[in-house]
Amino acid sequence: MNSLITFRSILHTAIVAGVFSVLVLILLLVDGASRLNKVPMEASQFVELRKQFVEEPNNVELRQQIQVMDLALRQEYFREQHFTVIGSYLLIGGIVLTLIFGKWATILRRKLPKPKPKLPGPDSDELLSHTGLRAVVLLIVALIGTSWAMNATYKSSLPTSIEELASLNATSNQTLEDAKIEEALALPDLPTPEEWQHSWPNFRGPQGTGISMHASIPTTWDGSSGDGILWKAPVPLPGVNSPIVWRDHVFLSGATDKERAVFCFDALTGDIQWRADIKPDPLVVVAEVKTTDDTGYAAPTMATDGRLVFAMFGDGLLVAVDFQGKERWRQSLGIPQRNSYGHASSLVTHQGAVIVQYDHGTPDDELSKLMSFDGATGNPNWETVRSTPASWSSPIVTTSNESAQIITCCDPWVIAYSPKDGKEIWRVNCLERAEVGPSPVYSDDVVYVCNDTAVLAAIRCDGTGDVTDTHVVWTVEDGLPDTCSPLVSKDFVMTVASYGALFCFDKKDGGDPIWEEDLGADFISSPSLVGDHVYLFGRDGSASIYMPTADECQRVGEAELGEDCVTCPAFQDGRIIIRGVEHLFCIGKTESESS
Amino acid sequence: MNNLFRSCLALVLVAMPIGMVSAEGVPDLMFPVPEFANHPIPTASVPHTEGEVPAVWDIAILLVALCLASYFTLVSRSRKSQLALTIACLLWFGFWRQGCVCPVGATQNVALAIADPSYVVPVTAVAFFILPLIFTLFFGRTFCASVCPLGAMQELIAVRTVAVPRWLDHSLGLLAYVYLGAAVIFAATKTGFIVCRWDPFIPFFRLGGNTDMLVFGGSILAIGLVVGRPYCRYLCPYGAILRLLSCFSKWRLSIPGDTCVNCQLCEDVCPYGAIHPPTVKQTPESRKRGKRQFALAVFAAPVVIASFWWVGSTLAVPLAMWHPESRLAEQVRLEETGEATESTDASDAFRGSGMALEELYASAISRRGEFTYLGGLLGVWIGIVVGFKLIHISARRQRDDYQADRAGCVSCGRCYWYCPVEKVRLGLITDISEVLPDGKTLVPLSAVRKS
Amino acid sequence: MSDANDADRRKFLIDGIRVAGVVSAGVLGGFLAGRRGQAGETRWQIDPDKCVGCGNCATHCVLDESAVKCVQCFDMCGFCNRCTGYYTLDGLDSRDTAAEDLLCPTEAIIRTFVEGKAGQNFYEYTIDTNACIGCAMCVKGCALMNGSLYLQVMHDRCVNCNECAIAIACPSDAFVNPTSEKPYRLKRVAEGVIRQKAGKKDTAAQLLIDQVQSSE
Repeated sequence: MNSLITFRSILHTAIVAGVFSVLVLILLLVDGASRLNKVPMEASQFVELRKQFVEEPNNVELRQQIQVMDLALRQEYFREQHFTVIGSYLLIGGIVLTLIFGKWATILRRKLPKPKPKLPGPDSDELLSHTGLRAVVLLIVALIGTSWAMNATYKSSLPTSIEELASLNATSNQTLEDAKIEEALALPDLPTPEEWQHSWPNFRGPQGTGISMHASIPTTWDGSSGDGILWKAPVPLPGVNSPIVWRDHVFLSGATDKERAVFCFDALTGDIQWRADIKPDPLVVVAEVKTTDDTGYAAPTMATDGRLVFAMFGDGLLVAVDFQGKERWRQSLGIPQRNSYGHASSLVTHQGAVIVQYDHGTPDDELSKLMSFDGATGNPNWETVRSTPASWSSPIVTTSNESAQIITCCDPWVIAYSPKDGKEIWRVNCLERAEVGPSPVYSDDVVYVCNDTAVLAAIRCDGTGDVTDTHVVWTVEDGLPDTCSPLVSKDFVMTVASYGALFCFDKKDGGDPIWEEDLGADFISSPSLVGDHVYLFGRDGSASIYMPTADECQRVGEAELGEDCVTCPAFQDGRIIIRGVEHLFCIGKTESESS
Repeated sequence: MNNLFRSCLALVLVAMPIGMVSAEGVPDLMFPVPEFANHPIPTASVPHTEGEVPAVWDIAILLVALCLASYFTLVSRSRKSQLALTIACLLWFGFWRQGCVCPVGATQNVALAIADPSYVVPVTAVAFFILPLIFTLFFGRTFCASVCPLGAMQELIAVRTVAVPRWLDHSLGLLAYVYLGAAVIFAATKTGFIVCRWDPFIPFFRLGGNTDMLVFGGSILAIGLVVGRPYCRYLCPYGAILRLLSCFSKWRLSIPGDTCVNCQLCEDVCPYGAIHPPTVKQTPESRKRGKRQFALAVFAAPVVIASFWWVGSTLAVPLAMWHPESRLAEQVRLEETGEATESTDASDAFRGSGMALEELYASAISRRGEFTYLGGLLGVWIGIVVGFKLIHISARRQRDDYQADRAGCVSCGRCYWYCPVEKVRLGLITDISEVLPDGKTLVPLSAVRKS
Repeated sequence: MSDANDADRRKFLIDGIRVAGVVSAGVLGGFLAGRRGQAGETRWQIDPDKCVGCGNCATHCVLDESAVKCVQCFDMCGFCNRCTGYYTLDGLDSRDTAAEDLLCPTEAIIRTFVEGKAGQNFYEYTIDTNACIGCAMCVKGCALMNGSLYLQVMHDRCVNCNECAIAIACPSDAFVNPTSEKPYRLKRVAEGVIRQKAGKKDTAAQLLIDQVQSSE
């Protein structure tokens, strides 16, 4: 036994352990140097393959290649980690053995240090005094040199003091303010009431009543022959929304399941001034949007606040586009959840705020909401949950009262809200179990609502809370429309019944119809009033112009558009702008005719 | 379609933080968490902290180790026990606790705690900093001898060492003070713990680390094979403090002058050059020259301090650059002015955070102001150390017997191991001459002095 | 005689300095330990609300296998079929669960079918902690949607360095030092939801809440 533990064997063990440690160390170093990138997928070859695969997604061979490589890379990655851990332990073990056996060997053959004879001459202290001084001086030089090098390497790009920074900020604040001013210039003040009244900024005109304050509107035209048609322009994308007019611009939107766009036409020539393509929200699966042919993907009529135009699409996307066709902001309100026909409520603005009636739930699931967004930025102002099922009626904003009200129709309520904060003001239960389509109309502090299967009701707007029992002036059950909104003139309330008849009621008392006129056509478009003429556009494009009186209904004109029409006309001075199924028409007297 | 999707996602991503800020409080999830009929939504779980040693245990183990080290060094004078303790401490503080917390790094925690009252300093860090200091004031650098895991690592590999000339030893030793000063100002300004960042043995304790650390540690180890304890002697900032304090220790490892046989073995065996032989009587010439040099050094010291103060104050920009926020400010500024065309992760993250640019700049500029002052302070510190060193090496002291250097001795006990007198004391040999190299005199120094 | 005086004076000086040193070290220690009060030891952690998912956690940890790993907060997860944390954006539409379409480099995300509802399929995504390397690819992907995947320093691996090497490399200053009693952080959104759950006697949620430090 003792013969085994000799100096030589111990020394050899130490040497073997030492060589082993060195070998392990070398292996570790080699492995470390040839290591993959730390994250396996960042291996350049793999990245290349993936890129290639994106371009050729159907390349089966490539796919397999990627899968094989992925597996190999991952295995390699973990193998390397494992290798390092094992290697480290082996290395430590080897070094420990080397140390132990080396120490043991030296103990067995301990050699005493052999002190060298002391030479005469200066001792180490003397040397320290002299050479040490030089060395320290050298160190001082080295330190100062390092400082100089550091100063030379690191240069700062920042100003040297807070004061300088402040002056820098002042200039940048200046430019910031300039930018703000620029932005303010881009969004001018809201238009004056006169300008508002003279244009057609949203569904059914400035008040949502279908009444134009312009005159000299033609009463005859023929779309197929072109008589009385100033211009006719094809609309590139389908949509059942009505055109709106601001100054010389006509805006409308169109959409299919893939595309959606806002169009701006020149009101004078009919040329498309611009087309703003709106990209769908990437996170909305368009295939899941339920619409019908009656509504499509662009049913809501656009609105403008005189600064930007706003459009809403069937997938719940609300966008703002400026008058140059640049998208300013967007809000994705989510796909309509329980809306059997597709979302159709039009937009309306009030003092720079866009108001969206988004009824698409059940009375209990809190999905239906009335929302208000800041027109300039798209930031939400407020939203109010409505316990109502889906509706297709558009909200109106009444302004002649001291305090403005947003009036909305749904099943079964007519509800008025404050446009400031979305708080409910009053509500009336009169549209029970109706699929609410017609929009309310406001006239002289009374709002008129109607719907097929419900009633036509006149409601005073000065109440608060549930005013079903106190503020309903009158109700009638004749001539109820399912789509067309009512028309309220100075003395009459007119409705277009779903079976194609025009009914006229006394505005003050309701009661039995004063007269009714069978129109012999199908109507989606709501009636409009210019002066004392009522304009009606049938679904087949036929138009009738009537003059209602207290006794009878005089037909004063008849015309043909030449194609189907489900939208409401917009009126300009002397002209009608109406959207057919395929074209946008401008009806008016040509220069020669008028002169 | 994919490109479209991607760009829109990017848009959403950019818009998201803005939305989150405006939503005030809890933002809505983009996709609601579904409710399942028979699958409850699980809650995430995270692993428990493992292998945590209570602070009290850590401190108690340190205290016991320090007591044992002092006992082995000063009372039992046993190199074997010391070695055993060294290995035990290396295993515990190094490989088991993985090198954290150690007194060397704790210096920075204490510096930061003094500078920033809001900093929550771990109680172990305070204890690890203070206890070795107090022990050093009483027993010399027994901590370095066998408790410090960094020292232990170097102690065990100091197999065949060469003697470093004293002049080189002294001048390189100054670097540790520079390092200490820099570590303290960087820690106090929350710039970073540079001592930890450049800890040479952490990657060995943890079996892995970044390349910088491995290369640095590897070279320290490689140098350590031929030069005893290179990190302790020339870099360790905590060692620099202990070096100062051990000059004032009550007891320390020393060579008893009355029994010393002047064999010179201890001087030769000390791997750290910490045992100095008796001095030779100076010639009148060199004595005169020495006096002149001393006077010169005394006059030069204030000049050195002043000039280092000035140099230090000019270093504000490069020193501040060590702070990540200052680097970020520089990068952002370069991007703003268009000099840097590519943004970094950090500048992207900054822009995403919505913090004001001016705030960042102002903070960087005020930090630079701070560093003008601190750089000056660092300069003064280096100046004092260098100036003192100049005076110190110029002052000649007379030594009549072999003496351990008060500052440089780390009480490793190698000298005991070789000392013939010790061997007689321990009963290993009966006569001194048994272990002496041939041809050595056996005359005790006291006898020499008498004659 | 004068030598003896000298030695005495010297000894007195050294004694004085030593006493002063011991006293000042003691005072400093007591002062610092006292000011610390009752606050516990600290651990490194990532504030998930600040994390930008740069991937440094995978590469900068002193440990070869990073101590940082991904955590799935189910209470924020949409259980989406089209998961941007699971698929690459290019692979989102093909929805093949093979390597060419997956984001995770180590296949550490396990996808299991839960339920089909209203024409939509829902999947649960769990993290295989052994395979996760903390590269944050999924974190970045998930941030496009709900952001339920986020990184945390796992304290069964973290050695709690005095100065965390990842914290130095972190671009968004997301590393914080919570106490060792509550060493984890939740996203602000998740915290509300999970606190609610814990209130409803959910022991798992309670356990998690016990481990997290409030972000405020």
